[in-house]
Amino acid sequence: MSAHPLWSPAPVPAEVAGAPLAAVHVARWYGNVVAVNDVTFGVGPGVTGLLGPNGAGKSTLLHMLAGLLAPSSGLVLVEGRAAWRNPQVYRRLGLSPERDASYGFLTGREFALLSARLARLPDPDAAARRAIALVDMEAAADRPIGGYSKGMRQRVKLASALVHDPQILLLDEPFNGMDPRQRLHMMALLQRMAQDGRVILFSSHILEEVERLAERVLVMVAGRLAAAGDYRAIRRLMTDRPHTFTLRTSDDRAMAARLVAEEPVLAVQLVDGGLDVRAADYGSFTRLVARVAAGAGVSLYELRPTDETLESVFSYLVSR
Amino acid sequence: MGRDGVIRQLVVLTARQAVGRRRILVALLAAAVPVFVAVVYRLAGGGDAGAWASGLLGNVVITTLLPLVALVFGTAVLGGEVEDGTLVYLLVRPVARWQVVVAKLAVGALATALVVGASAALALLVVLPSGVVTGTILAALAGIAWGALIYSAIAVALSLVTGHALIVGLVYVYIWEGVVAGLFTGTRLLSVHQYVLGVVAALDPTQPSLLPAHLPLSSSVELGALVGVGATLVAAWSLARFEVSERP
Repeated sequence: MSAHPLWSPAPVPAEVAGAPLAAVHVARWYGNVVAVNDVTFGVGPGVTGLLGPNGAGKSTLLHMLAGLLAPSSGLVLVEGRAAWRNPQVYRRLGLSPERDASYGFLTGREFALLSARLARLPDPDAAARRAIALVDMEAAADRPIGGYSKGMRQRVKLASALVHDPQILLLDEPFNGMDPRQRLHMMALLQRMAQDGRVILFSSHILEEVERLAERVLVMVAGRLAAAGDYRAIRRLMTDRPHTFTLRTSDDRAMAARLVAEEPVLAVQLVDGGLDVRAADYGSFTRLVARVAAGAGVSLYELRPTDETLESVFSYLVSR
Repeated sequence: MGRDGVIRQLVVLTARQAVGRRRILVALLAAAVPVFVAVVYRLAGGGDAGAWASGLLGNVVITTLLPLVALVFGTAVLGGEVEDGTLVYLLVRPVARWQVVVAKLAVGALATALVVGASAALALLVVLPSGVVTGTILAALAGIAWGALIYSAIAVALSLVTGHALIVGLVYVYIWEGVVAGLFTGTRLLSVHQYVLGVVAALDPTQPSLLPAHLPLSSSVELGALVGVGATLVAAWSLARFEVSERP
């Protein structure tokens, strides 16, 4: 199949259609519920983070990219070929699903070996050994998966996804349940693989994970692609946005009067037991507030950001 | 690795899976019932051995046990992986989906044939006087194997097209085959039960056979093959379009 589908409903940028992994106007709905809404992007070599709150449609999107779910409309292309109903893409693509499902009666090594054999590798034993070593599971490889911790199950899932040395790797919340040491090990492994030119897309609802690992990021909110591009640029958008804070002081009125005169402050409202302040950005306001309080002779009892949930950050990105 | 190698891997995996499932215990317990009844018959001094053998084989083993065990195993071999979420590990491989279906079906049918066949053979050995036994038992085993294959194909297909495969299967067996086929003779053409009886009656060296049949051997084989292959195709078609998502 051509990388440029002739019937595409709208012009698709060449870099999207030509990317090793591409979604072209992809949507997916379940009955009346829209899980993914007209998403177009391309993913190239390197690590890309798929960031979004729970329920944003990340898993649905990853399953479509992995050819396990049919898009309701649009097209998912893996190296230029449609992913849905095309098992041949799994020679080049590996997936580690989010769901904590495993063959509890197999040992980690047996599971890797089964994966290697089903991948029709010429030397499945060597491939399984290599994959087990990559995820640092040699010590427990001959124990049944049923007795593993969640972090170990995650790693053995990753070993299965890596066993055929795929060019494209899709990981759904891969660090769930891993301890910090395992997490660092996995991140280093994925970074090495990315440096070799592999395409790695991983989903996460944790900003710090994406921050550490991803050079590029796709932000999903409520089924839409809210932002896509360089991680640092998007991070700047997230921190430079207006923030609201709740303050409790010894003299709320005096504090309010002083604050409204300051430049980063957009609005001040006296509320029951304190002040609600809306500021243009996080950094300048938090630096300013102590100075203002000291100048007014007001004691500051509490300063609390009120909208720091990931969801509010995401909704801001969407509303822009 | 060739096609056979992949199917062999899937067969071994499925067999190991089946051993660990609680369902196998249920099936083994059910399979012990005919043997238990036969032993009680012998201990009680017995009556008409032919009638007892016919009742045990026809009413207990072929009418009840065979479809029950086939449905229990057949809906678990693939349906269990759907429920557990492990099916995804088979689907993200360059393996044609029909190969997955064939491997799963092979294990379901073989396990059913072994469990039900052993139960039938033991029960008949206990009840029937020696001498006339071997040919009759072989005929029963052939019919059971044929039924195991067809019922399992239906069960595997059901496990992919409905979330209530076991219930739908039981309704087919006990309403359609049990009640409707008794009232309307035409529906016997679409009854796996009748295909099994047709095979047993035709192969039984003792004539008239232990079990009465309404279909000749040729129809039992041809119609059975049609239903079995049809169900397998439905299963392969459904698995090729099977969608995996994280949605509960």
